[in-house]
Amino acid sequence: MDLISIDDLSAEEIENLLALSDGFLEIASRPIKKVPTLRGRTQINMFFEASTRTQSSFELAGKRLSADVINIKGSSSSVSKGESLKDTILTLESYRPDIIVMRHPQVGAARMATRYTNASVINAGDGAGEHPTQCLLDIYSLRRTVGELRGLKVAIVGDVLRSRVARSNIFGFRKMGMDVRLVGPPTLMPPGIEAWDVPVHYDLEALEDVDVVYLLRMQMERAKGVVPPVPSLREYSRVWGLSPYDLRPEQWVMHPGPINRGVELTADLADHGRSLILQQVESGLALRMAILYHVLVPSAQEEDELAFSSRGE
Amino acid sequence: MSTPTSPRGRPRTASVLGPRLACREILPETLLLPAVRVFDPVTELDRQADLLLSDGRIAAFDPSASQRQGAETLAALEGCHVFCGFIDPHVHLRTPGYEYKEDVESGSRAAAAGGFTTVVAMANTDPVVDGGPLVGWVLEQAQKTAWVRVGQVGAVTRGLRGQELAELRELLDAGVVGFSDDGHPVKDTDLLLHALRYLRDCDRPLLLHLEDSSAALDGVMHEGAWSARLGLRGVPAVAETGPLGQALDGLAYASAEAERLGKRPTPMHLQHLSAGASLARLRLAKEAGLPVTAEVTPHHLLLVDQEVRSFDQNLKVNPPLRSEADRLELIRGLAEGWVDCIGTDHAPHAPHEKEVPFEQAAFGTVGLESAFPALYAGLVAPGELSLERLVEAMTAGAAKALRLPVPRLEVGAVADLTVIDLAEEWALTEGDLAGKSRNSAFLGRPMQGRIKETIVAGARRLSASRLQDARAAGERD
Repeated sequence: MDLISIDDLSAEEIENLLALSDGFLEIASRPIKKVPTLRGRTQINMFFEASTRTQSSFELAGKRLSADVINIKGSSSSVSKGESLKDTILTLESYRPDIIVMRHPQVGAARMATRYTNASVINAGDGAGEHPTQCLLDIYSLRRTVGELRGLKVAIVGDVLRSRVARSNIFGFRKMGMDVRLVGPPTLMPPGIEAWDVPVHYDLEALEDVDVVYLLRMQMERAKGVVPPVPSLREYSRVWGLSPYDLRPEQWVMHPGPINRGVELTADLADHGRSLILQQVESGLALRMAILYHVLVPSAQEEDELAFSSRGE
Repeated sequence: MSTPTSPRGRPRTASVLGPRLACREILPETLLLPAVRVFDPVTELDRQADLLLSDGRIAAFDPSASQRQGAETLAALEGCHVFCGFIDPHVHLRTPGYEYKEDVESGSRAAAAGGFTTVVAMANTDPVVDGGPLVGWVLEQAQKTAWVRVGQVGAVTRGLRGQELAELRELLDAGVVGFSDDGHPVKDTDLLLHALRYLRDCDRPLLLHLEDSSAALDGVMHEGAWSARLGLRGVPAVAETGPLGQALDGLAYASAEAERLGKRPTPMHLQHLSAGASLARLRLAKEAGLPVTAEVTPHHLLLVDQEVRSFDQNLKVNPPLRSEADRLELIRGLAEGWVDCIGTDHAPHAPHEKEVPFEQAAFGTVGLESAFPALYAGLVAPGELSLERLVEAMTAGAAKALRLPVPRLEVGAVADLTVIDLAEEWALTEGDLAGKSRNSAFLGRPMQGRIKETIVAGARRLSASRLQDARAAGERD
């Protein structure tokens, strides 16, 4: 199976992934951190856009599951010679990979890749489209930290307009029964957002009664050539930047990284005791091991079932 | 009421403090205005009364003998009309940067001379008022020197360059009344939508100067028979109606979006409409329920392009004086209530900027001192406009357009008042101009109604400003 959108998973499947992740988290605490689960499988990581967390955790997850992992980078591959995405996928398909993990600056690139490969494609972020594994690791972090997800009040704050994380998390969080609201300047909310039926607030006072404040990164690098949606980073941080003083002691802070200290959050908030930012990274490794397992192993089960049903006739 | 703040005191909601109007403090007096005609279209008041002011408020109509004790009786005002103080949504006080044309003190003196108790200054200064500290500085000048209440708009775009939004939230927190790039259009649809969206739910208006700069380029008067005859380059009416259509379409789009989200849309205020064809569009937009208001200037209501044949540079204004047909449409729009208020676009210039050939002269006329008397003489006296409608436009209409509290002439209300002798007929001279500049399009023209006193917070401002003049003159002698 592929994982392109958070909509590809049901709440039940997500629960299974969380349970699997607990097992893989335990492996990370052993002295020998490798298991043979994916021995003989081939995983290709294709990153056409800069990444620290996502790429390193997918690579490490594959290696700890004993898969053969190779990395293709946009800057050092034939893409820089003008090769099209289609031809790059077709070329790599010749190696008969089992999994392709793809990060691409264009929305829909991961979905397109599924047309040219038999491998399971995992979307590791497509432009402002989706980032489903980020959503899953965030859910896993919350499960580990607060336990019960149903009814949990989460405010997603900031640059929703250009955020693929928001486009996965809003829907993923709600799927798990969480109460989601958005907070930020109106110009950072995508026009047409009312169709999502998510409460939208323009000021930080909407954080008053939430359990979790999920900060998004201000993506100024995506604003070239158009009217900037906020006048300046200075104004953004003054009005919408979060500091420890804006939090009640029992509230948690999350951020998908990379953080802009001094923009969407103050430097001291990033290092604050209620920040889950580094715990999210830890959760990410275990959760991504669970995903690699999940996308391959169910297909083996299906084969078993097919074999079983053919015997039955 | 406490406002929600974070523990370090940062306001968590937009505009918790609201717009700031500043003027110098003068201790309120206890004043009795005997046998005056109190007139207020909002409360439907129109009768003779002895008006008592005390502690900065209206204390009583027809006070008892004991209430009158200790009040100073202003017998000279007997027989005058008393209105709520006039509000001008559109003046240029030229501060900072152009104090040789006008400053907060002189501009507010002109306002007091014209019966205005509140004026709102535009941001096309040097430097442009596009940041919070500058707003604070101008309002500080007002607090020290202004004879009447002064509000400030903030620029919509940084440096009025029309490229990126100014720090509108900072301006809002500094107390601006609204936002305007006046003098320049917000011509880019994307930018307009950004401004309307960014200010959503803040309840502060976006004030628009409508001008298609390609169509208006190098034009110095209305494009029509008279520009052809005089050989001057014209500014076609479409230079206004084109951007107006774009602005109203943008407003409709952004307002519908806000409504779907359950938010208050950003109100739009159209500055100095000049073309008759603009009125039809305004009417349609208002009938559709859009949050839009509009102003017209006294000069567009009273003067037309034909006058330009005198080459009087004070008739060079932007937008230009248009045709008689346009003028009649503006009057009809005001009379029927489609036009909400009068904005003088008080635009002072120094003599050397006007005493050049017409084509080189600066655009603009001063307007505060002459607004009411000119409109009364030109429209009310001949029966083209009711007094109710004129007063309503200059008080409640302007307040609504600026989202300020609507003034009411009633007991307990803050005593911001204008006292006018409606019978007096006169002609405007340079001596009647109280600001620094003399560039009035109305010099020599008939006026009716003499502003006898302007009262802000229960203190006589017009007399006070004149007293200071007299003292200054005495020192010079």
